[in-house]
Amino acid sequence: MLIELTGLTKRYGPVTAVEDLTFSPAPGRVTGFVGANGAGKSTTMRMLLGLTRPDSGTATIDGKAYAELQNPLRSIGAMVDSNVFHPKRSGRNALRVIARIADIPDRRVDQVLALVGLTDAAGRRVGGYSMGMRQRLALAAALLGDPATIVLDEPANGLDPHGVHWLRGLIRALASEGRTVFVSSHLLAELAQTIDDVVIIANGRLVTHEPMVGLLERTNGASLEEIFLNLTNPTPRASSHHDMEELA
Amino acid sequence: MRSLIYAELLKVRTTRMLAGTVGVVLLIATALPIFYGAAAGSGDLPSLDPASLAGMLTAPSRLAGGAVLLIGLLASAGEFRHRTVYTTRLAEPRPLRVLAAKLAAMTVIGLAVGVAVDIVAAGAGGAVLAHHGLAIEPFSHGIPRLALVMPLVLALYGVLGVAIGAVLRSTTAAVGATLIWAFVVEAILPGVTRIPELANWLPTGALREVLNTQPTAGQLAPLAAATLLLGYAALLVATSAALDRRREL
Repeated sequence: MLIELTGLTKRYGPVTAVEDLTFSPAPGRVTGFVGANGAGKSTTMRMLLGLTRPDSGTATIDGKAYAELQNPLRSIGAMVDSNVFHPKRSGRNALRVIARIADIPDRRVDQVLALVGLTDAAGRRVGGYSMGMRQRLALAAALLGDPATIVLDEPANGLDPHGVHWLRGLIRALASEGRTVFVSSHLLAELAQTIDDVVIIANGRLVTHEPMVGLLERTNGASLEEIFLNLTNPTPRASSHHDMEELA
Repeated sequence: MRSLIYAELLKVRTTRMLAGTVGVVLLIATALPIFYGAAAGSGDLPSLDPASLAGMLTAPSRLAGGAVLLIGLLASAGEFRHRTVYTTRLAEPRPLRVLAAKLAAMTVIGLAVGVAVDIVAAGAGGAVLAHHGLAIEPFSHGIPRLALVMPLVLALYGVLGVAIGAVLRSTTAAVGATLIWAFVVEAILPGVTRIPELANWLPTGALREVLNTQPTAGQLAPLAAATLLLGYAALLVATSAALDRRREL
């Protein structure tokens, strides 16, 4: 399944959130989507998922806009936010509602609940879930249709260290099954352990899109965080306590 | 489309709002004939007779209508309040199909609540009449027509609720606007325009006319009133569809 973003541009009044963004996450690989707050990551993902209309450019999945997909959950599973469930509805019922829209049987609901470790809490109201549990429920919703492509916006938010470790394993397992995973995160050290390719954006524009291996070789083994900071803000920065004192 | 309608029904069923609201309505639909029976013949209230059953059947109509309207409002505007609109939109990216499913689901719920209110109100009313030694005549006094019209009226309330919620996208705004419209705008408008008959052509007046068993000159016939209400709902749905072309989530 091929995701293609071509010349994608979105403006909110005088602010350009995304500008002429073109890239295509490679099928069957985990692509990390990295950028500072307000760089345009979420806007880009929302345009891909048909939640936000681009001012120009296209975002397609196998040549079709999201809105043109027949039963999209079977093709692409997405997690855009964890607070997207009715607080009075149980976790299982929240997923059953989504499954019913997409003609997905209830047994799949129980499968994904088990996959994200929420079986025991499935009958409880979502309003009583911790943020990490909601995050897991949102992940379960993304996996409901057993899609070939998975889009995750900040999936590690709210997860404890065990949860982050679990998420890393889940993403790798999904990729090992041949799925395309497109994931944004601020946790660069964590992301570096998970992704095959990286897309870095700044101020809504593409900075680089390349395999992690090549990027690390090219930068003499610098960390993803260092690479990101250098690529998105080329001004010299304090790297030690001594430097900080000098800057002060 | 069938899956979407089932999903909308499941959404309404899986929170306590439906059971709570309908429970209160049925309780009051049971209590009203009992109170009516106890108070009949005192003050301005006429004495009980077999025709009183018609009044007992229509007594809970406004309350039931308000309840179904609220369920409809929450079914559409509530999606924005709780942000469930995101998961809905990801599963079905064509908002008009979702809106159509909501309208169909609320029609089903309105009809079901109407039938339940009919049964409860008629049962309690019949028991009150029997207690007072009066004949129960369910096929006279326009009762069959009222029993048939009640579910249709409640379905219309549900449709209007969904349409208002879809336009305003906010439960607070939708409830507030509905109350202001019903109790302020419709009360003032006929006076301001100096056209008293206008009241019958506005949504609340039209809803009242649908249940009117004996329309007089200047009042709308029940079928005309129902058609008018459908027109208001269609106008709101069209407004929502037009706005959705420009609005984003």
